[in-house]
Amino acid sequence: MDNNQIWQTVLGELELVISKAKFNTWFKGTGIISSENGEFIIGVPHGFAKEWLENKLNKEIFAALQRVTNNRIRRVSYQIGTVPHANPNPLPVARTLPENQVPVPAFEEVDSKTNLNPRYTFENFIVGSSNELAHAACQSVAKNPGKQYNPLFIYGGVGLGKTHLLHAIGNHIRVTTPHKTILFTTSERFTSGLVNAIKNNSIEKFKNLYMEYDVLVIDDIQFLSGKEKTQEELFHIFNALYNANKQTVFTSDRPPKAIPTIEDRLRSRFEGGMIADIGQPEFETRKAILFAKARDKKFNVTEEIIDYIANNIQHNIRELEGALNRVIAHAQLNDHLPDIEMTKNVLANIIANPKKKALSPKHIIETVTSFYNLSPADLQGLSRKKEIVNPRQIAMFLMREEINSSFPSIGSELGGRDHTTAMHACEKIKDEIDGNEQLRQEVDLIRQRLYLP
Amino acid sequence: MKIICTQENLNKGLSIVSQAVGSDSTLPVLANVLIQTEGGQLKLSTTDIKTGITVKIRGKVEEAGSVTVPAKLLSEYIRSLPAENITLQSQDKILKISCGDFNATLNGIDPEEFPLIPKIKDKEICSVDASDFIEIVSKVAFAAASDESRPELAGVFMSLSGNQLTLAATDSYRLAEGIIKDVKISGKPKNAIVPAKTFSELLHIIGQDAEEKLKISLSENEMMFEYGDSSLVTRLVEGQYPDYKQIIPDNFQTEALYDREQFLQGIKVTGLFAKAGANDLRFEFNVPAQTTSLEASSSQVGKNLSKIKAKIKGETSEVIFNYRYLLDGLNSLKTEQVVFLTNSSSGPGILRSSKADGYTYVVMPIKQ
Repeated sequence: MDNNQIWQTVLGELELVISKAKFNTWFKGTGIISSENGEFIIGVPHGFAKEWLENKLNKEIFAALQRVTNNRIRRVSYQIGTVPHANPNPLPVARTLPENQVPVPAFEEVDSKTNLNPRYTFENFIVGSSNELAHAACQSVAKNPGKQYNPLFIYGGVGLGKTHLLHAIGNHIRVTTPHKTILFTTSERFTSGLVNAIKNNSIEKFKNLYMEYDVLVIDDIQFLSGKEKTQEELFHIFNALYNANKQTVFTSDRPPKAIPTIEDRLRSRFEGGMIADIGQPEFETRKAILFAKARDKKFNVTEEIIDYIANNIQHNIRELEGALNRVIAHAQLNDHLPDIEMTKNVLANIIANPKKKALSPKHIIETVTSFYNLSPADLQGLSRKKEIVNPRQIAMFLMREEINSSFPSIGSELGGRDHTTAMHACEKIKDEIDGNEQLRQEVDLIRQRLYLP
Repeated sequence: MKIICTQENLNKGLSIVSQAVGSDSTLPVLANVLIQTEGGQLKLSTTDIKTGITVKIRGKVEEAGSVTVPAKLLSEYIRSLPAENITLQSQDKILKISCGDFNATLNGIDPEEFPLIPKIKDKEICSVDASDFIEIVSKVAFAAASDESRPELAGVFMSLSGNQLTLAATDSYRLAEGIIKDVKISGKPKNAIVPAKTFSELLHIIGQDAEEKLKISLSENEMMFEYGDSSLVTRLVEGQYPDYKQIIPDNFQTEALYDREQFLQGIKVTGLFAKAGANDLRFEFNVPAQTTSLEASSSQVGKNLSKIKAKIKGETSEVIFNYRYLLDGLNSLKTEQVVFLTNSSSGPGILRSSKADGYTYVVMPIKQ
């Protein structure tokens, strides 16, 4: 190893333990000037860096040099001056990991051209009744891009697999018809790209770039809400792609109708193709997901543990995976197979049902009123206007369902109403939810908000 | 840490160190000021890793320690406080400030994170009257290039040799050189390029009533200035400063002596008609008539001709100069009479004071 290689290896090691800002500030332009008889002279560009390395990082540098050179170091000193092979910008170059380091799971490379992550495919997507429509729609889009469902609009809550399906579409198309060009992007990236284009006066270029793709996939479209110029450009790009029979896919956390401040012409286009929702997975699906994840990680977990996790984490697949990872990590650290007791301990602070306990009738009323833009006093008041009665009944329903309040106490929370009023409200909402899709979504959204931290 | 000091002292110290606070830096601690107790005094430091400023101020130290907090906020806050005693008390990374009925706590960063300002180990090499120094700085530093495309020209050249301190700056269109004589300099002659920004920071440190000596020390890559209780360490600009002396001619064809005010007024008036961007002004030094005619014309505005009386020796000649550069030079000369020297239409023009005060201002002509 020559001096340059030694220094690169040392930097690679130090970069892991020092924050990026500091690393870039203090190691820019450094290098080894000479190394004779175990005496290393490190070249630094200026006195500030010299002082800092000498006084604050000498121990780390010495230790790293010691490891890299197998204890050939006796002394390290610092000198201001230019280095023959100075690294102008010490960002990761060939980095070598020391052998005794804990193996870190390798992240699959994301394809920089399409932004697709090959980890997400249809094969490893677990289908249950909550997501089968979305899954089927995505599969058919992947098989016949641009022909069947165009645009495809998928919506559902956080951590339920929207992004997984999007990547799966892209990956499938890439494998089966490699000549098609695909772009996976997020609305945030789209917006910042557009802002840059406006700044550089290159909007045409920007638009043409997007129009060239055969398949355009945009994640989290709800963030376009309120960004009128972006919506307008997206509208034009969309039209161009649509007229050329090219596939577009969008996701959002809510249906197009429920995205506030989005232009009608864009909304109607979203609704013009296929809309599919992903709901919360039911118990069996959650179990199947956990089994699949455990198998992916080649780790044996008993059904009892899977049941426990699936039972206690209900709303979000990402959390489900996180909980399983925690159990596995804990088991690996302690080097024994996980059992149900350990699982309970490990997950105690994740589960422990703090959410259910923390909900109060007041919190429910506040969440419902803020959702409908009312004040708590409206719900507790005497008005029997429809706009107020409906939220009031939803609040009663949620109190009953989520925190099991008694009917008399529900009545008294909402302005001293009779318990029969509360009973009627709960039954009415329960019945209506099955038939009225919009109401179901509203209640679901409120429920999600209730449990937001 | 617990310190009591006057609002006046603290405010003055903070306004000096605020000069070196790093802006839009990736390292958040650079936006902070380090407050330390040292030898019964209070020490304030800031740095942007190019320059570091430390100031010691008087105060009563009740408990030693250190803390770092956002410099901008602190100095604005202290500036707005009444002129009373201020108590600064730190607890971990938090600084409590109380002054009369005003109380505040500021969240800071661990002082261990604050960069160390390098110390210059070589001994003091030069000691100069601060008033002389700020005078030539104000006459020279403005001529440095404002863009960084040639980093050495964006700095100010400083030379210490014999018993002379020389400062020079040029943006390659004009050049200013100032010399202070009879300066105590020890050691071998030394040259350095100092960032122009350093001088504006120094002017701030020295202030109006410069009575003390300014001490200068130099290492290979840094220069340190010490004045009173303040010190400034700056990184030097790397590179070779152009050998500017060779463009200053020794002999001149034409030599004109002006009343400074008259010359300044004539150039200002005629300059109004110069072409925007070019700022070209035609000078005709007429020896028999003992006048200088200034002429400017632009197709959009019109024409203008002014005549200024002068004592002109040598040959009658015509040269075009950028009048703005001449105004800069005339404004930094303080004497009643100024000398303007020129050779031919392609040679540089030179402004000096009628007294030999070591200041030379050179302007390159606009060639036709």
